[in-house]
Amino acid sequence: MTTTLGSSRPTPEGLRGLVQPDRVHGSLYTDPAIFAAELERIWYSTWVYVGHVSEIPRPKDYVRKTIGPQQIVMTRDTDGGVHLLQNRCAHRGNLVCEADRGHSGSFRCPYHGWTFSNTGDLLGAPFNQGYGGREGLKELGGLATVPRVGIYRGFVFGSLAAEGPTLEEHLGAAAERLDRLARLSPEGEVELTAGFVQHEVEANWKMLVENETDGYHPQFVHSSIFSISGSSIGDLYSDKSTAVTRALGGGHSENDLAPEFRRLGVPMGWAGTPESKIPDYVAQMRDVYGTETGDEIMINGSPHIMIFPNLFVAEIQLFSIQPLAVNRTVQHVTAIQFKGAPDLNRRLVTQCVGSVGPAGMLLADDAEMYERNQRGVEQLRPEWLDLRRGLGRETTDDDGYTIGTATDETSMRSMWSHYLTLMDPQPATAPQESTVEGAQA
Amino acid sequence: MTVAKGDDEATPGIELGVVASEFATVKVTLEQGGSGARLRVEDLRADAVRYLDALELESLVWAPEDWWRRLLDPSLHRWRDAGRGPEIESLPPG
Ligand code: FES
Ligand SMILES: [Fe+2]
Repeated sequence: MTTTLGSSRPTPEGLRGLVQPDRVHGSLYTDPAIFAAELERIWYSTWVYVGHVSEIPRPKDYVRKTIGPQQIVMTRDTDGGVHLLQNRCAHRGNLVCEADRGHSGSFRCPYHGWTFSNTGDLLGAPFNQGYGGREGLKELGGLATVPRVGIYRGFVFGSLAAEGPTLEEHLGAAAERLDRLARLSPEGEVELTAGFVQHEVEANWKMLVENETDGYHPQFVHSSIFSISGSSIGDLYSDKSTAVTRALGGGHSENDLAPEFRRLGVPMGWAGTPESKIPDYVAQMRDVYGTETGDEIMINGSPHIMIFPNLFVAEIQLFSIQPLAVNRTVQHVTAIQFKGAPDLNRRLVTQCVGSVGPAGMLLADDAEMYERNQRGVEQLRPEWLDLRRGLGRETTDDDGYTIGTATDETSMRSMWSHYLTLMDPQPATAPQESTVEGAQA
Repeated sequence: MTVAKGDDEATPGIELGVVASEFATVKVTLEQGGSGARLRVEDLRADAVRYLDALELESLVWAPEDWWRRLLDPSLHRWRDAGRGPEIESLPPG
């Protein structure tokens, strides 16, 4: 499909004017035409996190997921393979699966009974003489599949574009953070089995992406949960902190708190959980990895990383961001669980209920800011959002990544520069054409 | 094998449970009576019953994937234009 830019579509030159090195224009959060272009060039083109293999452990399990506004069914076939299907009947487009999850090797559309395998094949349609019998059925289509499916450490990503960078290229340095997360399991595997809570906010999706690794806000927005829970996490986001904000490329960024956790030097200190509360877990980690490595893993802790455009791992919880409209976004949230760590997992669920559950105090604080921020940027002036914090004190780390202090806006600036490469796939000097490359699928 | 509507004569059985998804709801009972055991499978949404004996159940275990795919074609059985085409038809193997 080739989409011709209409007069209301944002042009590459127009976008370059809106995204500048030290500021971005408010219309990027409010203009429906820009949102439509983002769906096409980002959400329906790049790799997007969809779900985790642990959500469909057995053959014939399925779970409903999303890629932005697109409804996806993630299935496990008889041979253990993972498939991503578009939840749209090949007959007249009805939603085929309605339950959030289930166990079924085939799906029967409730409208006229067309029946599909969990890999998308059409198995049959009622009264098929109307199609010329079984021979005629061959002319009919099955469920559309997501053209590219990639799995890293059990995390399932999908790309609605048939071509583009590989998942490994897309993840880049972010992959190592998922490794680090998985190593916190004595069996090396993350499990997302605690169930999801959905938080919907009236805000643009990029407000959320930017906030996830914004180390400037926690001391203000989250002061109440920090004081009530006695958490010292807030102190890590200050000018005195040795933690850094790191741009990982590809729009990914992290708040690397490990330097502070290492200074603390206490296994599981990052989780605020003393060893005595989870003796089985600590013993098993030392047993499996050896005392030195096991302690190192438990001291360094879990990553705090935003994997562009929608996967946010915040130490003990995982968020998947789903844009629905220019000012409407859903966050799907769950407690991270580690395979083979039942005592730790119980604590993590309890902690997540307090932070991101229906009455949780952490995400509710952020949600309030997202919605106030959205209402704010809808005001006409002063038009721009400032992005210059720490611009003059950025450095390059040993691995070549740009880093800022714990409270600097390094992560946002790198997100926006990647955004521009996706939204404007042609180099600035190349002659402009009237088609959008990213939309070709 | 026949599809019986509703309950026939009461046979003592162990209700094993209901196997349900958003697509179907089926009650499974293990019945012991007469001269042997059988499985009673009831479509709770349509009030239809089928009884399966040991050899039939064993055959299900060994039935090839392709047979199962054909079985799931609605035109094979319940929603078949009996008068308008071959008696049995479905998607060809593969
Ligand atoms: S729309 Fe699905 S069978 Fe008609
Ligand atoms: Fe009707």
